[in-house]
Amino acid sequence: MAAKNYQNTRFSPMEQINAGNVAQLKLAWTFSVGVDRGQEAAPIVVDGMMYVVAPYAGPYPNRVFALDATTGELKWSYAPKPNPSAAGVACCDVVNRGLAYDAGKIFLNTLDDHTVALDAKTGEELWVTQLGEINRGETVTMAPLVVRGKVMVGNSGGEMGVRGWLTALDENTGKIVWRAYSTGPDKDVLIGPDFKPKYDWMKGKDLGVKTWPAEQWKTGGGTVWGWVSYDPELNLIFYGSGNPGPWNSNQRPGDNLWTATIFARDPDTGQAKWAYQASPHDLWDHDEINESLVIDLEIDGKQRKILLHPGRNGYMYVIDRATGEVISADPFDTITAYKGVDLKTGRSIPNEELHPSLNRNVQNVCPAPPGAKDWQPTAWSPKTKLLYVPHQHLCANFKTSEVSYIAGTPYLGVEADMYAGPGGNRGEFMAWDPVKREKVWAIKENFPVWSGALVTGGDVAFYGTMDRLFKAVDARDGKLLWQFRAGSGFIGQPITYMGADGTQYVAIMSGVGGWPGAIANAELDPHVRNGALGFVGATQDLPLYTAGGSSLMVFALPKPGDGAPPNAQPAPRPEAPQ
Amino acid sequence: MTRPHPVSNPRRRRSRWPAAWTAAVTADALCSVAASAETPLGYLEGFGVKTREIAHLTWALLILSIVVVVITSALVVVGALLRRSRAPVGNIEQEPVSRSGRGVAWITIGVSVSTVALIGSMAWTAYTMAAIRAPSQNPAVTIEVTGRQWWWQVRYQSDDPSRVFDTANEIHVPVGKPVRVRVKTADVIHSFWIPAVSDKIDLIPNQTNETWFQADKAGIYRGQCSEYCGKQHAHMGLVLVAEDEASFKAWWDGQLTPAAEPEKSELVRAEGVFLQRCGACHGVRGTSAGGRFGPDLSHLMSRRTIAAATLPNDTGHLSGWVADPQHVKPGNLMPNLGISGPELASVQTYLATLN
Amino acid sequence: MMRGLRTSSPLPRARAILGLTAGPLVCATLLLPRLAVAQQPADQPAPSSGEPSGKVVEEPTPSGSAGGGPTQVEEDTGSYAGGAPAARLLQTPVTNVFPGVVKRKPGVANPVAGDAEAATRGMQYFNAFNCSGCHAPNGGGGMGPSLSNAPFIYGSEPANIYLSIYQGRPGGMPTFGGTVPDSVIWDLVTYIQGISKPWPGQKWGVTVSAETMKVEQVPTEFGASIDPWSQTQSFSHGQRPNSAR
Repeated sequence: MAAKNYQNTRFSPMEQINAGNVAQLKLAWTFSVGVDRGQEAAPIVVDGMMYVVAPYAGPYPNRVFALDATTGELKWSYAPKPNPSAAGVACCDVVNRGLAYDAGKIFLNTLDDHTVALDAKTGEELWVTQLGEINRGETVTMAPLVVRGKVMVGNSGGEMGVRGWLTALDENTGKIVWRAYSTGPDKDVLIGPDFKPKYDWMKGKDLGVKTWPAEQWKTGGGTVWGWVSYDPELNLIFYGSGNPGPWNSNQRPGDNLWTATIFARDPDTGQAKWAYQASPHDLWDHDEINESLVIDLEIDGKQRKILLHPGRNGYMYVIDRATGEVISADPFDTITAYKGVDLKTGRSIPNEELHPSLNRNVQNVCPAPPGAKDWQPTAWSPKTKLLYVPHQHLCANFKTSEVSYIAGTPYLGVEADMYAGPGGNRGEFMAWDPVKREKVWAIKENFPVWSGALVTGGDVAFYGTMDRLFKAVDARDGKLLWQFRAGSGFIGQPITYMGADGTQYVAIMSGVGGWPGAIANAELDPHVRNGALGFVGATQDLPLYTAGGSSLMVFALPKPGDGAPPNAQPAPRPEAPQ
Repeated sequence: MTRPHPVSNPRRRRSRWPAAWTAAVTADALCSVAASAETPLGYLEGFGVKTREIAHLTWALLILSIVVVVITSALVVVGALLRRSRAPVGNIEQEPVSRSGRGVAWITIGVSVSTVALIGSMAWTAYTMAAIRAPSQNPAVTIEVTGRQWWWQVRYQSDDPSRVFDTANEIHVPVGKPVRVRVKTADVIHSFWIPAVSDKIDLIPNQTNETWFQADKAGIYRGQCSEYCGKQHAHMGLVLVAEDEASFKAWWDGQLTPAAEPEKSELVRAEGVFLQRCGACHGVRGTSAGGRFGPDLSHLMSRRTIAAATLPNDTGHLSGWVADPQHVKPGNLMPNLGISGPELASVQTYLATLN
Repeated sequence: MMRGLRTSSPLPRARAILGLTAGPLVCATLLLPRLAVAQQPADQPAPSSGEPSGKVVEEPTPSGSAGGGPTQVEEDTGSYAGGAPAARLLQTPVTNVFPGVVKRKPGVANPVAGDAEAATRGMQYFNAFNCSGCHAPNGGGGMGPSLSNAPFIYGSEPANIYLSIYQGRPGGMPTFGGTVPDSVIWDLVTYIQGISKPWPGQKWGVTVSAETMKVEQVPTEFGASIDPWSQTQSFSHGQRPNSAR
């Protein structure tokens, strides 16, 4: 799975590469997926094979490649049937966040709403299920997760007035086992007698209907395009839902449940156990799809089972994962949009001075619409007990306007214009201590840090920057240990694995894009700040640093003696049959 | 109401008494009271808490003004007659100019009387304004009205978000209950005015203004944009239906029901044509038509008029409007669709189901 | 004297409509004058293209052949292309490779080219039909390509832009023909042509360097305009723009 484990920690105990020797890291081999768009996918490595998926563009969109993880030799590839129009309803570049593996199968989500199972050995297509409809603006960009024989898939399209859902498919047949919507009546949201939210305002019947103006829950967003984590002990999956639609909050009075909400569900039935809405009546496109890490911590002398959730709204949530109680919520970036989180009621408190009334140009809203942290996954080291957070540091001007729902077109009603937050840097890579509830160290970056993080037993944390640097820093103090200038900026997810030759490898996709990077890989105008839903304002100078790319890059330490990276020579190919 | 729409009745005839001017004015006013239901924009009689107070003041000021005009006119005439020149005609240079002390005294008297009258009117005006400033009880209903060239977008507010809904150009209110009105504009300055029950309030860009009114008598009243707002300002009307609490609640509940899923194949096809040709601008709750550029059409058939109280809502007018809206209200934002005959028939068929 | 509804001006005609049976008959009657307009030749010359050398056969705009429009036509032929003859639109090329080297330009002019208000209406429609969601306010681009300066993938002639909106394009541009009337599409074409201009200092090609990135448009939250390139400020490099300070 993309996130390394069910806990979503992205921690590898491997120590071959460590803080002492990482400076010698060299490129071992590379591979091009052939599509120069945003490369957000995590390669996954299983049984000596590496699987990687391309973005949805070109003649073979979302093509899957199986490579020998040690030598980089291509074993097979699989290209789904293309539907180029799907690109027109994908809000923020045509990315794919990765594949999943279980029981000899590789699971692929395509942008045009298909989930495909492939034989991991041969690449043979085993089943295909269509889950959504691009004409309603639905796409799928998330990496699937397989839990107890079920493939969890959620939709994207919160900018298109899509009704969000998470669907579980049988991994053997592709049949839909259950689907939990994020808006609508309890029977659609899979809220039943087991549902016990911690806070009173989330209790009641059919709140997914009653907290919306008449019928508007049908186009209310709450898409599920981020990360799913799983606690086998409690047998619960955890995930967050996206922003309510439209962005213009004036058109949807009410709390807009269950958007921007963290859910705990039974993976077998989909029934909700508890929920926590981080941003009731979201004003700023603050999705809560960010990962919830499943970890156990000693807090105030008590060992607690928690979810560590770095919120898009800029608060670092520590939540009791059995009950949904917010234990703490502390700001980890500049926040002007909220006054805090009331721990009694669990509600975040919006700053009324910045209320985006219709047609009002509200300035200096921090964090900006992508939040303090977007999809880019964090990493948790059980050794240092720190969370490594790649994130952005942006504020925005935000002006709402009336918007029509026209199926398959954007449902926004906002002119946004983003820019660097206080200090002038646009991104940061930082380490957070959830027990002390404070930032331990931080590295300021010129651009938003849109890549994921990886941390290893060798106390090295890896991340990439949009201006083409792949960096290794000391997990304890944030000291820069190594960096590599690549062909294109990084927005991917670094991984590490042990090759068949006993060498530890580190891999990441290079290829700038995504919401902040579309300016560098597609036809956008850097002189018009409101482009890409306002992100152009913040990354308008990115074309001065990078263009799109499509490379998988694999690094290793040089073998003792020869100075050259191992396995630079590919294994000989078997003779083709005559 | 027995009549479908009082505003559509022929206006009453003018007074037949051409006698003294004052008498004519009074008669006119009396007639207006008697037939006020037939004068949609008549403001000399109030049908609401606010307008009743205002009407009293209007009458008082009107009568006072008339009295002042009559007295001053009479004094001018009398003065002119008394102080007529005795000099031979054409020899005006010989007319002596004289001024007697008594005249100055009259100035003092005149100013004193006017001052008393003015202060009296001011006091009454201030009293009236104070009396209508706030309703006696908390408003039962809050309506958000947004002026657009040239129609009214209406949103009913509620503490329960699921009872919030959008409609257009026709508002319903319960009789005997104060109603809060929040007004905004999407484009230029408009002014919200329902003469029978409410005072005027301007709709200013980037600003929300608030007023209230209370209708005391069930009925159907006309509202009108009363600040010039462009070519079709005159055709920016509004219908107010004041009804008893139970009917009002039933109406609100009815508005919340989504459009029925069409079953017959003919209706399915008609809905398809509507969604394609109309849905990008107009909304119908419960369907994929979510346009907000034009008026919301959910429950269109429950409304009495179309095109912002410009035409009665019946098959002929509706078809004519859809076929050629620029003919009816030139310059309005609904373009001619170039819609074909069969398509128009389908649209009409579908609209007829929105009751 | 204030008037009731019955005396307002459009009524006599409306009443005449009422007299007819509803539906197709009404429509056909009302469409007659519109068709007559549609058949009149567009008299504006096509804007000069930047085409370099090569023979160009500029076909004259015809003056009578309206033909069935590309609008959804069922039984009748009452559709129109906002003044541009549909047959001409069909001949509009999307590429500039012509077998035999003879280039053809069917000369379809924008029927609202002379209308001073067309661009303003177009800007309104650009927001109302969610064009601004994908192409961004002022056409900066996002989910869709930028329209503010980029060369048009499917041609920059008015007819090319018209057809791109009408037909949609395979990379994700939705088909708006039938959903919005042709007159609206022509207004959009007018607006889009008005906002797509080379930026100050741009040459035949585009140099991207710290030296060439000198200006940016004043962002639309400070006010929209049909000529956004007339309001620029110094390039902000991702910092808070000058206009906000």
